[in-house]
Amino acid sequence: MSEDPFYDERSSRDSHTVRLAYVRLEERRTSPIMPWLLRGLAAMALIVAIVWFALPAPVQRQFPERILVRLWHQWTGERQPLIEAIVAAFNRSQDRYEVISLSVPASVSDQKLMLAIAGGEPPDVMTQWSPTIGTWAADGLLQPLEDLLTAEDLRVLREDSYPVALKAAYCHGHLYGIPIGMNNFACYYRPDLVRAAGLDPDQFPDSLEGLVEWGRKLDRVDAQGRLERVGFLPSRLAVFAPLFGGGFTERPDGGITIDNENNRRALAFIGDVYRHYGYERMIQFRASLNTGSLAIEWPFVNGLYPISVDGQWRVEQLANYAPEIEYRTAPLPPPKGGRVHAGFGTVNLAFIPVGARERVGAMAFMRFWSGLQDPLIAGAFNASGGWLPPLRTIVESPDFQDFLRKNPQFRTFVTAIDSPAVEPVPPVAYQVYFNSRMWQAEDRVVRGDKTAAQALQDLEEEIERERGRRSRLSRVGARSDGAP
Amino acid sequence: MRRDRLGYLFISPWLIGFAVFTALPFIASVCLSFTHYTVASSPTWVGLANYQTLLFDDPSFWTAIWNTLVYALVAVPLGVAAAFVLALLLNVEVRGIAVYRTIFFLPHIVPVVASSVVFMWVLNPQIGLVNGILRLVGIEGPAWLQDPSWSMTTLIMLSLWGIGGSVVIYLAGLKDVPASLYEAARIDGANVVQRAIHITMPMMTPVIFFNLVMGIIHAFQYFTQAYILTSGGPQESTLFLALYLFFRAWRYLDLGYASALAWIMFVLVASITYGLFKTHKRWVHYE
Repeated sequence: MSEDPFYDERSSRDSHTVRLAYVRLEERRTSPIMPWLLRGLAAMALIVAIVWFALPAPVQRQFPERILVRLWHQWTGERQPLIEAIVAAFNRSQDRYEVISLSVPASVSDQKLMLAIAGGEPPDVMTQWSPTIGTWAADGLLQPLEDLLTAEDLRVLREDSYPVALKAAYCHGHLYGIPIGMNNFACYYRPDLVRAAGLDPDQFPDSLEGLVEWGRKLDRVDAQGRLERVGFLPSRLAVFAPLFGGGFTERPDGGITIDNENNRRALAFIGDVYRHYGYERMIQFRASLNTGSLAIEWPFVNGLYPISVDGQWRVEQLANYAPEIEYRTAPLPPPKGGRVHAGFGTVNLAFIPVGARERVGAMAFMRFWSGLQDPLIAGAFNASGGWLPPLRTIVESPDFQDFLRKNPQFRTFVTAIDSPAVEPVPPVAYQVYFNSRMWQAEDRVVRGDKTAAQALQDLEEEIERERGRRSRLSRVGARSDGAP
Repeated sequence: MRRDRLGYLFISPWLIGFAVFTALPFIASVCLSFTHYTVASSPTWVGLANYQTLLFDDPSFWTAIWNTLVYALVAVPLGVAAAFVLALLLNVEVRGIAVYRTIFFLPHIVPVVASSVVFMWVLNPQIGLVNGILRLVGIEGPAWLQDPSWSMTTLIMLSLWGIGGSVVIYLAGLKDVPASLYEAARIDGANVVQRAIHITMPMMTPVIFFNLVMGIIHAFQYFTQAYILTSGGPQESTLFLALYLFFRAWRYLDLGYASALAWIMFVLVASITYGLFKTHKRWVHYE
């Protein structure tokens, strides 16, 4: 027996055990059923009771007599209390509405919103920081806002907003979002590492070519030839294309300018830097970095990227979590002959989903947060969060000026955002698709799979195909609806 | 009659759940696949336009089909074979076998999200454990998840991490093989290998068949690991059908198109399963 590894003498015993179990089950089956039913119901009631008491209590309303305005936002962790402070300030500032906020993680916010709209229970206000408004507006998820704003509000928006804010918030001829914060990109660099490389941190390069040269002097390679540090690594075509005189803007026919000479030069520039280091080596190096949104995860902090192109939110993070690091910021310089003060920006928008119950209250809160109601109050919010304000007058507020005095490196971003040459991801109907595919195109170039020209040509074809698909579906849909 | 009613009463929670959460959405998705639907607005009838675009004008769809088929054709047989061999080994009565069985079963109950995040670090090309060990023997490991030529292989290898569930099913099957067959074979002079090939294998074919069918169905629904580890990249090398469906539905707000995709996926799975059932009489032996 023991020589057979697959034989188990318990098998025969097990068969007997199974038969016995069947006999017992049969006995049980023929016994009165009611006691079993009662026990089952009691067990279910117990489970329901446990779940009921284990669930967190719903948010208690402080002002139940007021009209409820429900806000969904995406800030979590240390940022969540800042949003709650804005909500509390609004609730204190008036006696008609009460805003209740819910933090919805960005990774699921899209799905949650769509399901809420489908279920007839959307929030009254929602915020979004990624470029999705074009798609959401085109697909009917958002409400146009003009009728809720006064003529004065519209004037302030027109005259006091940064150019990129309006480019991002207006889509398909309507205003779909109120800007509550701006995001743009500039160079962060480490003077200590720059000095150690024999460079003068006061002489920051005024051209991209000069920046690449600086970067090469900051590189470090280990004995096995692996990259330990990369001085300057360009990334995000949308950030670099405007510097080359290109960029991605909506054409009159609804398409996007993609495959043109300037965009090709910008993408080729990014690809060339990768080619210099070796595509394989760069993939390995990049994969080793954690590029999360927290300061402690940022390779700039541990010196792996001594010159980083990143957003203004890093200023606040560095002040809070890495105050010992010496750093400076500078505008991303254009290439020789390129376009100065050009760049890429995104806008944090607050909007009203379709089906929202309390539109007027929602707009009252949006006016409060955005500074349309009072830029001085909004100055305090923006200073406390280290946010880049959506209106110029908020920047001039005493609170925000105080913030700038304490964080002088932030000024680079304030200056850079106020340029007509800063472009958003165009808010077209296929914005989300375009944004995702633009990354893919860049990825193919930095892996050496395609040339810049091939990648952009393919991207343009792909986007045209998607655009055609959407318009074909809309046309067929309109015909079946009896629309002309 | 009274007993029948009681029976239905007992299964009614499941029946209601099935009707509301499975049958109705299943039927609704057929209708939605012929519409343009973005959740916010009512679905508009577009006939076969979604299917037409998917089949003739969407290269990403064909990439997703190809990736899913490759995964199903490699990961499923590999998983079936590995789980079977492991079950044979864990069926041997040696000291501490319960501990070994527990060790091999544990990964099956670890949440996929948690294990995926751990693997993300373990497989990091520069600072990960795997490449660190390879470096000790002079091999520079690849970028497992970041290199398109390795990413699919990596996900297939990772699929073996959760075979504990199949192993338990095989173990149960092995316990069910009548001892009398082995005894008769031994009397006839069959050795260990002959008994394994001529008794264990044929007697286990119903269990193998079950695992194969379930494996194929799961392969076509493969989502979580790919979503967490690669998000379909790099270069769409791990874009699976379920992942593409998710992107189309929730990222690009195209539920009609995603429904059409789901139905093509369903037809594919149903066809393959039907094919397996057609062949099973030839190689599956029932007692």
